[in-house]
Amino acid sequence: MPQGTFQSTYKLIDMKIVRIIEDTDSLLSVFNEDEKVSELRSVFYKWNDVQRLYEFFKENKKDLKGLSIDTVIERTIEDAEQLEQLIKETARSGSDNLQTIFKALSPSAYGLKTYQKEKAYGTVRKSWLRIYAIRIHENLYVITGGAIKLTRTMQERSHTNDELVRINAVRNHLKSLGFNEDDVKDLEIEL
Amino acid sequence: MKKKEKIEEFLKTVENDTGSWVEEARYRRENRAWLRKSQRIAVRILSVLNEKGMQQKELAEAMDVSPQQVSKIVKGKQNLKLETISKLEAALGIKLFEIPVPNFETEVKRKDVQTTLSEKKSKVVKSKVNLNDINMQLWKPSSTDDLAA
Repeated sequence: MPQGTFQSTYKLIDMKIVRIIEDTDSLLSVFNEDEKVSELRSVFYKWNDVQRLYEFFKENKKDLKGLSIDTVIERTIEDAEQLEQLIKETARSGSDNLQTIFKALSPSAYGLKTYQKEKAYGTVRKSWLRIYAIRIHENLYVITGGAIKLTRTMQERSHTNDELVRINAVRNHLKSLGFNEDDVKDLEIEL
Repeated sequence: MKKKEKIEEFLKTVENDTGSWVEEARYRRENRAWLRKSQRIAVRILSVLNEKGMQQKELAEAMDVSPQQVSKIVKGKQNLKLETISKLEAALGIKLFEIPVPNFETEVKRKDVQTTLSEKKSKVVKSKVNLNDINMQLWKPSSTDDLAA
């Protein structure tokens, strides 16, 4: 299993959740204590760091289905820009709109078998960028992190598996604050 | 405790880290045009280093800059100077920027053609002027009445 450059060094202790947009309580983020930035900021910084992307795609070349590293970097940066604008504009346009961009983390993402038919997307390529979050309330989302998901399930690669570990850690943290299992829901955003 | 109260309590513990991500996102958007160029240059540099089996440290030495500077360049976030681009091109033996250069030979030929055409055009104009002169010479007022008319 290739070691992802985006490997998490997340610590459960001293978990901090921060407000990332002024006067907006609907979209929060976990704070990365090692990097001293919010996870959301960290993710977009990394998705715009060419050297980091180059090393990552080199390590995960067998998942690129024949595409060149140059091409996938170009696409990643383009997609990251779109995704960043989507999150920023949606969060600013009102808390009600956030539910339109988040969707439930599919069972297949965890590696669970599902009877749901695979959706056909025609020739339109799906983006491999993912932002993960936990919903506490219909208008309250906590971003846990993000990843470049090149495989069907998150367990298949260490860097996406780390995101699952982090989602669980944040869920446990929220439980320790008094929220129960029914209150929280794992979500993701993709283009 | 009701869920609404739980959320209110939870929000009291939330600290502010507002502005930093929003600011960075805005910076990326506003500087998109040159950042894309910087990112593409970074990808090209890394590809060539990979092909040549060359280390970033060696590139820094060839460019006579610090390894930290090369490290910043390959992140694709640097607003590069033309001097730096030229140093990179020389050290890697590649072209990173291509600006159309005027071709002297073609320019001279084009100028010759234009001069010939211009001369022909001026001859035609000259001919017209001469004809006018002839007309003027043919028509001569015989009296001041003709001029008044």
